[in-house]
Amino acid sequence: MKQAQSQTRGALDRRALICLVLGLLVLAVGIAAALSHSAQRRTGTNGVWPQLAAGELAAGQRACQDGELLPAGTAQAQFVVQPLQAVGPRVTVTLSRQGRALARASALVAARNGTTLRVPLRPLTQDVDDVTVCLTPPHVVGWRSSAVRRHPGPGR
Amino acid sequence: MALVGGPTPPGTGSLTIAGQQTGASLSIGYMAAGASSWWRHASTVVDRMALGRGDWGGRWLVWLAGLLLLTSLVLVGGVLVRGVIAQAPEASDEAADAAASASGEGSWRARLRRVPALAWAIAAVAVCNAAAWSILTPAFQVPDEQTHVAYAQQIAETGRPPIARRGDEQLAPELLGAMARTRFGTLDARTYGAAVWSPLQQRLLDAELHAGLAHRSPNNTAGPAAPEPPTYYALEAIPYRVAGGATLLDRIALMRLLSALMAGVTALFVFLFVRECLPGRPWAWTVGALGAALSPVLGFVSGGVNPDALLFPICAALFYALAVAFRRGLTTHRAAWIGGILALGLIGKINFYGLAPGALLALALAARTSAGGLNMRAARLVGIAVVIAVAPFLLLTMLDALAWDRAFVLAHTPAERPEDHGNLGGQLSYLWQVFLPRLPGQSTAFPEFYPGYQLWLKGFVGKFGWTVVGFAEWAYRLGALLLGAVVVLAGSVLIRERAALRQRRWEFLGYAAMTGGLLLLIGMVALRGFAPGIAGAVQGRYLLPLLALFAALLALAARGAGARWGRTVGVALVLVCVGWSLFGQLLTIAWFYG
Repeated sequence: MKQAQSQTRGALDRRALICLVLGLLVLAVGIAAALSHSAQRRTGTNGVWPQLAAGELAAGQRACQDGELLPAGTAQAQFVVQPLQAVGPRVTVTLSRQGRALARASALVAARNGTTLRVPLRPLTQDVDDVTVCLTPPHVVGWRSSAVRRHPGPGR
Repeated sequence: MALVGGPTPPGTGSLTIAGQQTGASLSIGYMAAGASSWWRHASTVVDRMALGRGDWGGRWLVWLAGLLLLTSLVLVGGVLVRGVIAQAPEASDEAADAAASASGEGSWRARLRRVPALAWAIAAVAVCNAAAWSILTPAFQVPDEQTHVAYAQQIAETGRPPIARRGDEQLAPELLGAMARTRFGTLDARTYGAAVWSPLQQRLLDAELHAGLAHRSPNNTAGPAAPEPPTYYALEAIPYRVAGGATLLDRIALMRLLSALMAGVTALFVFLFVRECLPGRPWAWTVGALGAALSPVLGFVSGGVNPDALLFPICAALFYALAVAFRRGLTTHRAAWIGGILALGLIGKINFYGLAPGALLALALAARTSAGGLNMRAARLVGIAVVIAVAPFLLLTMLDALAWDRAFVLAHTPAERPEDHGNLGGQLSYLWQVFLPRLPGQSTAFPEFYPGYQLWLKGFVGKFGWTVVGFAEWAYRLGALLLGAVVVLAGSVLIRERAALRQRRWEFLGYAAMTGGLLLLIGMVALRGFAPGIAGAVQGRYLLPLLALFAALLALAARGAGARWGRTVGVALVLVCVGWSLFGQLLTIAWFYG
């Protein structure tokens, strides 16, 4: 009888049907959970893939990069650095456009924070292009430079 | 303190330290205040996705991508209910098998009419997914897309393929401008992650796209893709020409859609292969083909301008044609058909050369079985296929040498100096370790990682963009576990039905030879340095010519769960593939626009 029923045209395999319904539910919940994940969001990036040592910044030197686009709503700039000591130095970051300062802030490089140097900024209401970003460590003796580990880049 | 950065992308300034140029740029990320969920961030993401495109861009594209994904989901649900969950009476299963047997007979129109609706629906799933991927992925962020666009542009603009001239490649100014203003980079210095997020950047991009820059390469070059055969690019020249008045990015969008259609053809042939190869359980055909159609790597690669998009359907068609030859006998007509597919493959993409020797062996074995031994009839059948297969290849080689001033396709020099892997033993050891764990006594070819897991498995499960967008580590481990379970379940069927397997041993030997040949080719590419580094030579997408076998594996695994649980396991496998695909797309969105 059961066999006859299962062979009726259009009869549904109940287990498979339940699996489909439950599976879709699990998927929906999983996607909802993933989309509910809360984190700090990017307002922009300059698109440079961190893969090599761009340079070493000695005490008192100034590192500058122009042509940056500072997106509206940016509350923090993040740089990839390689700390060479547990704490320090404190780096001053200035953002300027055509010689006019847009923002100035400082942050402490600390090995415990990994390779990211986070510098707080006051958010602007609109995008500003052609911004020059400068980093200046203080004239302090006591932090050193050494060989830089190469960051792995992606393959082709 | 060391500052970390990379090559300077176009439009970004370079770093100076104490007034001295460093020749590189700092990597800078700009962050919003506080934390927010993706739900709250969604509107911003949609705004960003609308940018970085040509005149056809806008928010409507995001809605279109959503609609395509929704259509795909609805189709998957419908196919599962109709093809797997609905229990057809045994008589109906037999009818499906009979229809499969008859599908190779009659005219092309009659054969197309006999392709079941489920197969078309599965093909539509693959097309929808690939089309959605084509919208989600920014221009040039599919591996090597810039050089493939350059190749197609060269054919469309000049009517001839490019010259392989390594070190002196000059792309069309229009293409270079688009690459720079989409913030992709240049031919060799790429950004991997940048997309156009600001209206200021979009304005610069629009100006560049409408600047009337030249469409032709000054010296008929197209970058590293130049040695490839021209078939795929000639096809892509059609949408390029159709949208001739549109901006380059709009032309690329249309070219990507043609690739997406090819994903549908792949899925269709995969279904037909599984049906032919594993007769008896029609519901399992659906499981295998749907799983393959939902593969995110298939969607991602076929959502870009990349000759792999053509290679995949050619390989799936070849597996299908060989399965037909083994199951129903090799006739003159079928030999000619296999020859035609081989011909298309040989002028389709160089990677196909890896499959060709195994396919010829399979063809010979099928001919031997059909002709009752190695006799004149078998030789004639193989001869027909070989002549048809080789003729277009020879013609193309002649055109390369005599008309287009191109070197023979295999004669191009390696991208890098071949690494020294010692004597033959050392080279074999290297090849072994490209795929399998190192054996005791072997020197370590890859001290830092195991390519079998890091490159093959992760690449197959999903690495997007220029292989930089990936799942979390636990997801790959879960993927490895699930793949292991699939292999065990499929293996149990093969053991249970070993008598049937023995009868079909020549067929499986043919498929194994094709697989081995492809893997050997990839291993040789890595060994000889034809691609920059092991990560360039070994990518998950290079396994997708074997997608038909993966589908058969999924179908076998579902069958391996037994009559009681088989359909349930089949549904679960397909749903895993749905999640696999959707999360791959979400990851890509988060990477490029989040």
